[in-house]
Amino acid sequence: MGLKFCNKDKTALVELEGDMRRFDNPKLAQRMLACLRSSEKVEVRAANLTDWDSTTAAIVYKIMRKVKGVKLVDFPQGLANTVHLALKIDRKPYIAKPDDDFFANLGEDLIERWQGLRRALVFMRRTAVSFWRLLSARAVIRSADWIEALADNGYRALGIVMLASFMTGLILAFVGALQLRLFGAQVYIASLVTIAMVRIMGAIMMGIIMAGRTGAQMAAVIGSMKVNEELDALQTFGLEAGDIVVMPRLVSLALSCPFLTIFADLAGIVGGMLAAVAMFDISPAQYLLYAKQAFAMRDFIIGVVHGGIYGIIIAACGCYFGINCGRDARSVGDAATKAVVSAIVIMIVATGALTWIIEGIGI
Amino acid sequence: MSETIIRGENLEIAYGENVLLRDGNFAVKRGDIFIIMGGSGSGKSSLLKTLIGLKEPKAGRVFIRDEDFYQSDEAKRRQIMQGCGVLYQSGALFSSMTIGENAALPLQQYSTYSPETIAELVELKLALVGLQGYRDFYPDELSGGMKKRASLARALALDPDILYFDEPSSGLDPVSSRLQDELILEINANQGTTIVVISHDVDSILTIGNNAIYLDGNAKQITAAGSPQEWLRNPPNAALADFFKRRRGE
Ligand SMILES: Nc1ncnc2c1ncn2[C@@H]1O[C@H](COP(=O)(O)OP(=O)(O)O)[C@@H](O)[C@H]1O
Ligand SMILES: [Mg+2]
Repeated sequence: MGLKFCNKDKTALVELEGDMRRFDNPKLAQRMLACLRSSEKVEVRAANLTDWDSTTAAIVYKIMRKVKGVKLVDFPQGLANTVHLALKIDRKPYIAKPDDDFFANLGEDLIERWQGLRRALVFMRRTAVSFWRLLSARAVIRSADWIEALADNGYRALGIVMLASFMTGLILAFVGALQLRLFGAQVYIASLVTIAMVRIMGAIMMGIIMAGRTGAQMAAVIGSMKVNEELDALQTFGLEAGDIVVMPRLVSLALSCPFLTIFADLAGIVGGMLAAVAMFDISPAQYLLYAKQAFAMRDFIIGVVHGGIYGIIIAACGCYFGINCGRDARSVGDAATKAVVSAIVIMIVATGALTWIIEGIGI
Repeated sequence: MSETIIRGENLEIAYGENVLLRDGNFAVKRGDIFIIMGGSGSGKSSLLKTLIGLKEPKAGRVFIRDEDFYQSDEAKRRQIMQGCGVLYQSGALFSSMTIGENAALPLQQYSTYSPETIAELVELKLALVGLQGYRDFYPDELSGGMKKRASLARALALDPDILYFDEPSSGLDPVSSRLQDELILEINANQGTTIVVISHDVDSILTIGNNAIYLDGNAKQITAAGSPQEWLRNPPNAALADFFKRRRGE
């Protein structure tokens, strides 16, 4: 039963016998192939083969591929046909995948980067054009898209943004007060929390939460639209993806983020108050008094403007990576990840740059 | 070789209140190429889902190789399904795996073969569908027709004795579509595989089918069962006469 072979005077003989279903003996198959290599004529016989399946066909197929001049004798019709069908199609060599060649990789990397930069520039140009069309009231506007985007980026995000800020204010107050207490100056905890939240922390917390929540969602939704060829369909209807897909998200986020920042500031100050009152024996009235003294309109406006800029960054990253997503499920995941990571990185870099500019020219 | 391998008994298929089929009875014989015909939206894909265990019928029973599918326990169902290969309408290849890995997946999952044997089997199946040399490609690097063939290779991996196709020629050009018909005939002849095809491609139906049912979306019933070649000569009802005339005539 099974596979037998011999090789005499450059004429090899292979016998398939009995029930060869589920044949799984790679070592034997390997030995057989080694034995056949030195022969000029090969005969494969199947007169006593009772049962076969694809494993049998795979063995015969392999023999026919590796050795020339093979004759099949007494084969069941179906088995012979299956093997011939597999062989019939022109034998293509493996189409070589690019090797790990350092210089080739470097070159490709540079090209890829250059193309990435170009795509980003194209995206910015198109977005600017769409924005201009929107301002001059020539854009196609679907009110449903806008309402949905405003709701989603606005009040539905309020809870989570405020919670995160509240906790930040609380932690800030706790850590700060531990230090200030060394000088008996724990009442200044209100000033510390207020300045930090209003100037930058409220905006940052809002930005990080919105990048994780909304930026990722935008990239995934737009990416899926790309996979379903919805974006192509838009184009064939003469509609600009920029008008329909990007503008509602970009504008609504740019509008809602400053407001979310204000709520984040408030939540942070309240969080600080909770820590101060509960753990450091400061009365609410005292806390509010110091908070009010520390509050500066200039800081507040800077913070809110930061929030708006973060909104634009988040929406731009989400839309950009969604639109440039690949065409399969895996790339949708990649797009969402890239949207979040790059939004956060760009936000941090932008904060640095903005602070430098603001302090530099002394607004 | 004319035993029944799939049988639907008084099947009722519905989504909530939306009933698609009432009192559906039919039988598929071993070795048949069985066609499910019907207009778009008549519930062909839903019937297929019922046959492959993805959608429980509202009433009635499905027998596969004399086992009552929906009365069986989880382990039994899985065992029944291992003998079935399915080619989904969209291909449904896993995009994070190469073509070779896609075809190897059912073998790794359900067989105890050694990795070498699995590799040989994948090689054979890809060659059978004309994709030799594409083992290391990802689905998004292939054309639509190639993706379909790749998912056929995956469906064939476990040597199923029943193979289901949902609209195999949708999205294919006529030449690829004829080649695919030939492939279906070869698989059926060589390994005696029973094949169930959803189709409304008349040429293809007449080339490959030896038995068929017609789902009427308006009547919500199977209004005809028999041989499509016979129906062409002698339509059993007006809907079928229309079906053949319209699709052929244009
Ligand atoms: N998952 C689902 N939920 C609800 N209704 C569905 C679902 N899938 C299909 N339908 C409905 O069932 C009907 C038949 O669908 P389908 O079986 O896909 O038809 P066919 O494949 O014949 O074109 C359609 O009217 C469709 O709206
Ligand atoms: Mg369908």
